Amino acid sequence: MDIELMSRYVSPVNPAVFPHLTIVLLGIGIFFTAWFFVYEVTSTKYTRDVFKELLVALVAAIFSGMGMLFLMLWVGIYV
Amino acid sequence: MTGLRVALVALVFLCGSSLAAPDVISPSLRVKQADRLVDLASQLVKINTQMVFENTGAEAARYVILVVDEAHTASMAYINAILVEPNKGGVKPMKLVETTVKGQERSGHRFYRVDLKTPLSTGKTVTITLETIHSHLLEPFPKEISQKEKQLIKYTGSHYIFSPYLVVKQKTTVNLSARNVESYTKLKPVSQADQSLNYGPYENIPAFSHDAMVIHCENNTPFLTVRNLQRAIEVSHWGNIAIEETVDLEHTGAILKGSFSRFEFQRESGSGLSSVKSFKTILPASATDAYYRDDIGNISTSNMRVMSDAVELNLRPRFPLFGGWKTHYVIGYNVPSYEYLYNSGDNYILKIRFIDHIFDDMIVDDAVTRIILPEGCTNIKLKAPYAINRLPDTLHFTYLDTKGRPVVVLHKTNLIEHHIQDVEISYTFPRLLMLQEPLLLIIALFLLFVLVIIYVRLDFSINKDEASENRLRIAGLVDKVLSHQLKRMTAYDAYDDQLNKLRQIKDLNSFNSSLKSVTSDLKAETQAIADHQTKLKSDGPELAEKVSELQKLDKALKEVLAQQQALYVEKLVPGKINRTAFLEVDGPLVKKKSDIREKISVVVKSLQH
Amino acid sequence: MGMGAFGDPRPKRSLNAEKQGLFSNASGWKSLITFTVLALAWISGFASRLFAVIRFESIIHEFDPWFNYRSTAYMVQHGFYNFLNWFDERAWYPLGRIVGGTVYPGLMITSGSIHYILHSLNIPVNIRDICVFLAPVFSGLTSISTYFLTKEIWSPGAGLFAACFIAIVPGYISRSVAGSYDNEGIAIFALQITYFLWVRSVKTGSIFWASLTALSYFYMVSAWGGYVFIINLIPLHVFALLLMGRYSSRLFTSYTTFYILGLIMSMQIPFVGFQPIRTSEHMAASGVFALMMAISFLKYVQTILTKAEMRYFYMIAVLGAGGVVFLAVVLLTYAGVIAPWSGRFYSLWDTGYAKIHIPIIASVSEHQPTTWFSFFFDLHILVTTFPVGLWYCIKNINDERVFIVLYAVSAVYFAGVMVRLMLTLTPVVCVLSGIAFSHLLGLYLKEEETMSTPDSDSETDDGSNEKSSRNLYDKAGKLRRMRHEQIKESDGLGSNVRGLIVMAMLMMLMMFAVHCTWVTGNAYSSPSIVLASYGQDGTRQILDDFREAYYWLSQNTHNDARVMSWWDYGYQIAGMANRTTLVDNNTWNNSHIALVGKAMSSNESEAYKIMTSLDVDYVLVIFGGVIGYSGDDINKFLWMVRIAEGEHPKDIRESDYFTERGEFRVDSEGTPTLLNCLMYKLSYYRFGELRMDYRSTPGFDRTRNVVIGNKNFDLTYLEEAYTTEHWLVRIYRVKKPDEFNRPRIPLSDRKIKRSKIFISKKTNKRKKGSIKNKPTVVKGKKPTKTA
Repeated sequence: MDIELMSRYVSPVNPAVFPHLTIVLLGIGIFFTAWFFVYEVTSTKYTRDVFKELLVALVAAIFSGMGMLFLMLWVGIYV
Repeated sequence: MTGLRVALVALVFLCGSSLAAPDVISPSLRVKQADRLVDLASQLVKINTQMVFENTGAEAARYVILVVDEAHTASMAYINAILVEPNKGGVKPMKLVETTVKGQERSGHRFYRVDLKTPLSTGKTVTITLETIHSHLLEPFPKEISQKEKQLIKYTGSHYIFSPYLVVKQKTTVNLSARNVESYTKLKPVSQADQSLNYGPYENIPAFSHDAMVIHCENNTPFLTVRNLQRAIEVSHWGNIAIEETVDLEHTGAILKGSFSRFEFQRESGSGLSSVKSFKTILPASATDAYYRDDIGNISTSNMRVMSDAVELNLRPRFPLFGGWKTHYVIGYNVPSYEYLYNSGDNYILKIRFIDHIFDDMIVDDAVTRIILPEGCTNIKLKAPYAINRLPDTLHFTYLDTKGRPVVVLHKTNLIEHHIQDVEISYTFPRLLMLQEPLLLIIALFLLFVLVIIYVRLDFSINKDEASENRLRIAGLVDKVLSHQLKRMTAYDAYDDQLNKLRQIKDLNSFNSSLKSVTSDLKAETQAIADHQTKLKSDGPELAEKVSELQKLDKALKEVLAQQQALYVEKLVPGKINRTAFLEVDGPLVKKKSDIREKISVVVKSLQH
Repeated sequence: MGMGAFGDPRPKRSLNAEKQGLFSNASGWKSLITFTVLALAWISGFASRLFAVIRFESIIHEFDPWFNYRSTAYMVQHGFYNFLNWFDERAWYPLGRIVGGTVYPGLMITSGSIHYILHSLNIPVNIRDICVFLAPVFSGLTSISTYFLTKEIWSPGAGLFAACFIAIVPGYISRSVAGSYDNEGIAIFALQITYFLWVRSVKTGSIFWASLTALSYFYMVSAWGGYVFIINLIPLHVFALLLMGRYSSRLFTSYTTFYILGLIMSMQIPFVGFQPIRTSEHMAASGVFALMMAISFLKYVQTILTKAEMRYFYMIAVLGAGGVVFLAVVLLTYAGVIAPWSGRFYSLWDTGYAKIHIPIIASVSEHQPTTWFSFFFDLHILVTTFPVGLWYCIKNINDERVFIVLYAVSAVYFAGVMVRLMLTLTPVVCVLSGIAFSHLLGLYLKEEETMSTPDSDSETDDGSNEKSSRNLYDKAGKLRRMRHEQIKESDGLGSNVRGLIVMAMLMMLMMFAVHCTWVTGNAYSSPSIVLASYGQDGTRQILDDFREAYYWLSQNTHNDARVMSWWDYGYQIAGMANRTTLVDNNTWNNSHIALVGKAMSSNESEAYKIMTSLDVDYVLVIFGGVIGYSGDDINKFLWMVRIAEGEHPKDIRESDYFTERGEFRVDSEGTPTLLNCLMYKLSYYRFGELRMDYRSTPGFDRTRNVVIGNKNFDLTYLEEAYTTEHWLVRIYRVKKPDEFNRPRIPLSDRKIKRSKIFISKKTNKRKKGSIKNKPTVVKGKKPTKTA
């Protein structure tokens, strides 16, 4: 492969939007995390619904995880 | 046994030498005119020799032999030959091949063969410039000076150009950094002008002639050597390349003798002339977030100037560097990846400098460059502009790594500015692997949540608290009842809406069809509440009471709605009733309905506490 | 018409109900709010400790943190067991120091394990950054444990107040800013969590909580010498409860469990060793343990004997037991089995003690008695509100509130004795102020008819009553009654007055927050190894002389070079320059320090003898005369003289350094002894030629605002090796015997005749451990220095 045939590499996400992505994703993530924990605290073993828990946990994990990734990228930890 | 081994070694040696057949110094070639420029103005010795070769023999010469003499080989950092073609306009770099020469196998000289594109036929000439740069060749003399003294250096070379051919006419110019020359060997004709010495012309000097030339002069330019350079280049496909250089710096000029006086250094201008207070490092133009620090923190004395084509860092070590003093620092910065990274599909090429500028006329004794590629790279290949020693690849672990990032380790000694050239690292990286890091985070968080889910289900208590257990169970049942009740009320809302719609649009068909689902919802919810009610009866009789009250109210509500429905369907829609009569009948029903709803909400509230 | 209006609001109401279902009940909100407040307290506490990092950089501050950092780095590099066995030959030359046995390793282990965990997760955080940010992170944990402690003692609301207070109170921030990597940073957390667990275990009487108390006590012992405070305060609490007739089986269980486990575990720390059973400081705990046993025995006997018999028996038993314990302690002390009180301990009772007997302790500024100003400076409004909280606790006393009262009273005393012990006062001030604020706001914020706040409070009280024993909590009713009375009064005041009071309290809280930020930013956030000066136009100039000098030492001196300096800089030299020092901030050997003090206060030739006997290669002094830095060695010089005089009263006399009028001055009126001593010469070498600007006279000292007295002198035995840019640190090289020309002694005066001297081949080289006053060969060399 010759370098003349290649094009300059552009990263999939523009570094300029890292802060915005972080705030939005992490905000949503924190909301769902809070929901999850409040649910865990308030529900008793007779009122718990495992599917609801898992669903909220999954959503919270996805948003928080992506948010954390972009947070790391934002502060300069290029993974 | 040993004899056999010796014989074997000898055989191998013979084979080796016979494979690379020694070249021959053609007696018919000679140097018609040679001009040499020896530049001693910095800590490097730059020798530039322009030679006009002439073929006096009958046979055309296909190559020319160039030589670097014994005294200059060890220090030689860089060599280059250029073909000068004034009539064709310009210069062309030529390929130098190191070789051996017949009759000179034992000597310490280094021979290079330059192949000529067009063989040099009889009587023709060719002009070749040989450029060599030597580090650590200038010797401070005296070796130790006090703070007040100037730094003097001694250069030992040869008056004659060292050539394997006869040199017909030659001249040498020596450039110095200051006017002050302590002494120089005077092989006539010689003259001193301003900051340079001119030797020659000397005529008809035979091949391999040597005549010691010693120049002892002042040179206060910075004698700085990078003893060890560790350069780390970390590539991230998220759009960044982080570069960090760890530099061991030493002042390799004349060593400071006696005490260092801050007073003199600050107040007297002639004090510490050879010391280095600061130097300039030039970073790539796109460099950002530069830092300059050492083991104990930031070095606060540095300036950064962003220019159009470069970023200029004015670095001041913590203390001025006098002869023999050392320092150590780390400098780092980020550059965007699009400047250096190229791709086509999953194939990538990183084109980045092997070393970068540290200061002007720098000497790097030993450099190790570690190129850290993203995790999951395969098929790593190196293309180097000059001979670089590639050490075995290693692994590097950093944030969110699982199996480690491959590291290409490159090593080279004795480098100067001319070695600031690009290396090309090509590798394959499947793009999907970029999702690995976010997935890792997501899975880790999810596992954490699952752990919480499991934890709240565990019960470590030894004795069960029956009362609170019961209370919790009842609370759970009540919660369920309430949630069903909520759904039921929603269904009633829908019921109401449909009735409203019916009253306004009077479309019976749509009403009936939508009512079906509502009634089935109602039925299901009521049934569910009834189920929970029976469960509650045994545990919490008072609450069960309340729930049954709820059910009663619900029944009443349902009846009212049924009445209303009957009124609408049978009277209003067919138009069997006039407006006032309708209102008379409908009004009380609506009021009754809202009364029951109030009551229900009261019961619900009492259940909530 | 009515129908349409009726149909519309229904769906909305259902929606509301649905939202309620999301965070269905009050406890959900409560826990969310608690969590949020604690998280915010953590974040704001963390953030306000970062002034130094943002203004300067991520760097270790001051003096002791450098040692902690160095040992942590050593542990991370060499492993825990090598750390425990570490003999540091770079300190206290030529004695060395057994570091593993002379430190509280809790701090190093904490950051070392954080480092280990992060690195096993491939998070390549530098150990320095962990050390820098450890204290701010732990301040968050402290505020959470304070929340739990206050919650146990009063109510969750008060707990939240206390948590917020301790997160930002300057008295604690002063010891826990980022970079202040010291034992106190984690010890306050350990202290608070131990107290919380102790209160919990007293309330529940469960072995589980008592064991946890012992465990966290163990952590505290491993972290800080202040653990002695715990091991005296908890027995004091138990003792007070016993005196108040509040003995219970809960108390018995928790104290005995805690004491035995805590004792055994605390002895596992090498530095503590057998101290818990052999020193007087720990005797109170064992005494109370014995008393506890005696009382429980009596209680048991009580079930058998009649009342009259009992009284008689009781008297004899108490007197007998008391006498036996007292005699045993006295005898053991006399026999030397139990060490008597240490000097540092005495200085807690008699503030003048240290000044007379241990000048080294008195010379440290943080061991001075506290001024009123610093109480207000460190605690601001809390200093006035905490007596209110104390009053509430006394009014509504119960088992655990006895504890907080004792804690408050003893901590106030100690804080008054030593500035440094402000730190132990701060947490209890926060707890009690939290109680005061919460209680007052509870009174004034309430609407007339809703009584939700006091109800929930008394509910929690009642809840704990149910679990615990019946007779002790009868005063809880009183508490409620009192509140009702107060409520009536406040109702009488009307909503305007109430609003005013609430506003005033909020104003106070706001001012508190402003004060905290200001104090943190201005007083407690200087790394002290990097100085900053501000120009007229507000531009900041960084004076980095300390690091300049230390880095010069580390790069340009021989690896084994021995550096003599006053002990203040020992840890920094070891940490930043990695060179051998003679004395350092671990002031364990007074005579060694006195020797260095003697060298500094003698004249050059006397000093040279000491320096050669100690193999000194370099001497480092701090000199602030050029930039006007007041903490330099000349200003500390009198302490050197005093400490030297303590050990060498024949050679050094403090009075020699004072003028006839009893002044300490370095100008021309200073005493000749002072103007010719080593410290003076090293500080002012060639300073007499320096002019600050064209108008001023040369040799003008900007710290002491005088022109120095002795200007033109030369050094014979030393030469200037390096002086930093602003002359703040000056390093001198001690010349080898062959490098200077000594005065020629006529042959007749020589004690050792030349012919008798055996000249060894090694004489030229200086050997380690050479004998003092060893004859040296005079070589016929010209003096190297002529200037």
